[in-house]
Amino acid sequence: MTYFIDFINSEKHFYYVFSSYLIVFFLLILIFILTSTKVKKLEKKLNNKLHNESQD
Amino acid sequence: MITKLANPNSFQKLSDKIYFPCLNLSIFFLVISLYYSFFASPPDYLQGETVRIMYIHVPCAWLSLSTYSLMAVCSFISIVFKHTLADIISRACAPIGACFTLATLITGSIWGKPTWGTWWVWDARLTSELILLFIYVGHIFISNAYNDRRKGDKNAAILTLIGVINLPIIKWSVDWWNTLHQPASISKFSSPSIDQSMLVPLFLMLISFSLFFTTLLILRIKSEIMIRKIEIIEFNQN
Repeated sequence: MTYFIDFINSEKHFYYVFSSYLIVFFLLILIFILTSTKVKKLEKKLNNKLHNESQD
Repeated sequence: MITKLANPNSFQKLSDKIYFPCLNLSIFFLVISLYYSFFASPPDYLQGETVRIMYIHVPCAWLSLSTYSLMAVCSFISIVFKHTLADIISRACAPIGACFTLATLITGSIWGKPTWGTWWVWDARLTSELILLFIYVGHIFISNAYNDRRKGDKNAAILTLIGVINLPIIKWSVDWWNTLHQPASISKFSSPSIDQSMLVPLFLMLISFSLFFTTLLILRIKSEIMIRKIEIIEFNQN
């Protein structure tokens, strides 16, 4: 806990570290959300195509 | 086993099974590594608190290189054996690799400001990592530039194989040239030069990021397989 309190109080360095973690997690979460959305859309499209094909 | 996995449908069935365990384990390791990074790891005697940036910068850098290595192997298989799954994996890897490379460059730049006194220098390590990002972006553009998917995959594979020359440059640039970037702290041939209390969060974060990479890769492979299935259905309908 001492390390964490010292880190929080290290005014200048805190912002460098915090912004680094924020940017990395933002990038990783962004690519995960974009990929998941793309997969869901494609699953829907593929199911529709397969359904239409079976009706034909 | 390999022959079975090389079939996109079998691969998709297996990847569906390991998707959630990978995602959950990645989150589990991330929580532990964040605890070690902020609560159990001391500040460095020289870098101070900014050493904590290393716990995300180094795993991102390792993954940017290993993703490219995987793409290079797939590109070789694609050109020599013309295997569809190799193209699919290569296409799926490129945006993830670009993301990790961008994260490496940004975190490195943020770390450089308080440590070196500048956001950026045209240092051999930094420049070669930037070139890696350009190759990843080039791969994404080239593979999507053609109406014929196979032509795009072939040209992107050639670019990837040419870009392999950049990997040893990134890895050994700090040894070959006099650079501002410090040499590797962890080597295969010698004991690590960093303390155990800093090695633990570093490796835990690496495990977490690797599992997250696997999760993303599974998702992207799944989407590429579905795109191909939709194209086949549309082709048959026309």
